[in-house]
Amino acid sequence: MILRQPPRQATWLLERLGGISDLDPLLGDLAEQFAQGRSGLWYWWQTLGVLGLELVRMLRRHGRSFAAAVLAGCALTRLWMLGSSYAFQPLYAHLPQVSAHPWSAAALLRVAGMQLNVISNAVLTFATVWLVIRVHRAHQRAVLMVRVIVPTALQTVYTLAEGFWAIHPERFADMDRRTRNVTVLALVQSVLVAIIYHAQLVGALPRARPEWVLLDALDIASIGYLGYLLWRPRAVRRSGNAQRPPLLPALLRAGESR
Amino acid sequence: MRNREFVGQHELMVMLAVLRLGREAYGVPIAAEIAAKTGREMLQGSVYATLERLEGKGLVASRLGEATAQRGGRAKRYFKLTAEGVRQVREAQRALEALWVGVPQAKGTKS
Repeated sequence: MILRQPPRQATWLLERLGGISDLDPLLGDLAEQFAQGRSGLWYWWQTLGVLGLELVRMLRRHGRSFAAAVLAGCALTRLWMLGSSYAFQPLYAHLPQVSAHPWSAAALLRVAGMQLNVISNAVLTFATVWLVIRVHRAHQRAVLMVRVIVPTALQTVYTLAEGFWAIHPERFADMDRRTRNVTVLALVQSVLVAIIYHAQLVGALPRARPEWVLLDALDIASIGYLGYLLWRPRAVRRSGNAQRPPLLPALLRAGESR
Repeated sequence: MRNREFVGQHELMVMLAVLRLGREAYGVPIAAEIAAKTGREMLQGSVYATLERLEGKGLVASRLGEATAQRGGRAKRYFKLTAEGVRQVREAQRALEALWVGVPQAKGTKS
């Protein structure tokens, strides 16, 4: 007998955003009723009901601290950006003149300064993630995801990597192996992209090279993969790393125990 | 008077359904029982949220049951009332019955 399968997208949403502590029995109940003839519309209605209940419950319990966390993160980002735009502005002035002598000491110093700017932005991301998850401890994963939706693509990689670092007490060493590899790859690639970009700005490299397409594709792919790793259903994540305690379940447990 | 926390209407309905179903009390029949007896269809998620809250209060206990292919390999969670849960249901019943005594007819008033 072939059983009807409930809508995958709805189950996907429930597995990731459903707030009930043990979702398996609920998902089983919904699957059982769907197999007995309930419609797809009914399944979606139940899914939206669970998500709505979770949202109301979260806002009732932690609405203020959730809003405060996101606002604090945005305010810190804004302040930092304002300060750094003044501090690093001279580096980007009169670039055409610098481009005439791309390998001069002045041009190289500018590239170094621009790299410092990138690093300062990474520090900013780390600081905001640290601040945000400490203001709102109850739903660290949710707040972190709100934070990664806001910034640009490169900052997203930093935010995810540093978010892992900031949230998990055992830090980077105990990350799920694949997550760690992709994070390192994404960070290295981000730094390379930044160096190439700044070298182009001072004229050391020609602009608009076709490699950018590949770098952008890699960037998008790494962000997507990190997002996937972060959003894998709980059960899959648990079986992901049998030898040492994986990062994400520990992260979830830490979030739930608060 | 002792400071007590009364169970809400949703909670009471779910607890009564669990009592009525006995050993077969898991999500699907609980929701079905409530729908059959009250005519109100509760969201499955709402049933679980209520049960989770009741378990937190120590009024309900649960155990994992068998997984079937029909359920996508996911286990059932069976619920039963604790002694404190039964006591709370009886107390709610007594309180409601006491309030009903002396109410002539629930017809509503004309202004």
